[in-house]
Amino acid sequence: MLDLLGGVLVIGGMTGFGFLYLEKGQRRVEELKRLAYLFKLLKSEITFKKQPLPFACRASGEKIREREGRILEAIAGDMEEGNGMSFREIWRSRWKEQLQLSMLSEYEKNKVLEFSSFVGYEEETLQENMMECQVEEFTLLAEKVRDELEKKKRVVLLLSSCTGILFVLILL
Amino acid sequence: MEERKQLIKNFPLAGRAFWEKLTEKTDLLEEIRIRADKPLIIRERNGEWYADQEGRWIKEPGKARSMTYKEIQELVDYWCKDSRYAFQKELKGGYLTIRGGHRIGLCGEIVIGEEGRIQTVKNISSLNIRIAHQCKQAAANILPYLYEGDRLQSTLLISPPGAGKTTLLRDLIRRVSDGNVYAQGKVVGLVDERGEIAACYQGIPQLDVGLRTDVLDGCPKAAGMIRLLRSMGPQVIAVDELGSAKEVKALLKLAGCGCSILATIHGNNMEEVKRRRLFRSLWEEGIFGRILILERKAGEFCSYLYEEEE
Repeated sequence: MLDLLGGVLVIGGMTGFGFLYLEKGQRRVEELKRLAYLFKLLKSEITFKKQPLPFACRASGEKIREREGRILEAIAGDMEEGNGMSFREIWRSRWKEQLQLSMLSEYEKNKVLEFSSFVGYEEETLQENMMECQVEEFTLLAEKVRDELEKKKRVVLLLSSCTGILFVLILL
Repeated sequence: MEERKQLIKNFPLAGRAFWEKLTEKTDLLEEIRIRADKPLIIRERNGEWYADQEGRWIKEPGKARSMTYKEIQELVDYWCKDSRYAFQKELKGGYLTIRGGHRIGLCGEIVIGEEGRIQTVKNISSLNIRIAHQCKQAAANILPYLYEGDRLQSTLLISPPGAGKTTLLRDLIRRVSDGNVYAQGKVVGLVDERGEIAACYQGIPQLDVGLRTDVLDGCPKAAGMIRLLRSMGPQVIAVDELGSAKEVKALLKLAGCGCSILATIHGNNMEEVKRRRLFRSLWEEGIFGRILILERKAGEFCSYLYEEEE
């Protein structure tokens, strides 16, 4: 009886790891979608109100309830304070800090940080286009990761359950 | 002290120690002139200085610091918050207003767009940082003459360039808006087309234009006057440098609506202004109850009320 219970727990635990892996993947997809939305909001602030980037960050941050909104508001706050750092420097430093807690891959994190190199255009159309590129990039990344997860789902769950069964057999 | 703290925030962190030293005597400072690869020049009330590598004021140009073209671009990028596209109107106009109401004049290569219009300025190689100082006594002596009872008379200031009309107008607006011994504070609408009166930064006046003043920053005067009348219920409307038929027409419309008007015109004297056909209707309609002529004599500002000879 105890053996059976232990076996069930081991299999359940290993399957749980599988679900955890999938859940992390799902959170990564959500984060990528939120980033796409973030750049979309920034773009609309520039297109319609011709806002400088710090103001665009403030206005967009207020519309995003999640962590990304707080980051944008912090960036706007740093600029208003006039601490002497440029928008590029503040963008990099705030996002670098926050991306350590993120589910994103290194490539995706660099994509966020690299936005600071694509500011400072004299013509608003170019800046809007840059934002649009970021929106597309993160949307595509989100779709790609979601598709990969869909494909991997069964395999991951099967593998994790099988690993559990293997452990049970070994222990028995 | 507060003024200086605000001023320092306008400079990037790298090199801030230089600017802190340079602006130690903020009260005396009038202009800082920066030209690519030329000595940095400081203009103050009593003359000119150069700045050394640490920001100290010196007289020897040989030891003066010069800024490179790259440093100038970095300064402009900092002031534009890495968003030059959002400051195209200002760049086109040749100036930026920064925190504290200080104005940066910009010079470089003009880009001409369609129909021969100025599109923008590129390769900025010269900067003129004009330090804003508010003179809160400018209108003290003339204020009593502008009221009849508690009603402010519509007043026209006629002045040549450099005689202090913007300073005077600003102080007048402030005193009318805040209230004074002659009348309670009035709601003032200010059309600040070139941003010289209120010196708005991010939409907020950096210079004191009074408690009850609403500022339309960067708005063409004719449209601005009508807009204020329709939306802000002003008791007084203030405009600087009337100069077009549209603006005169808008002014005539205002006068019929019970608003008092504070306005300025470029000119050396009344006779010269009266000869201009553009302003004929202003005299014919008797819009202005008071006309003030400004002059600058021996470095001092002076003003006097014009009275029509009978």
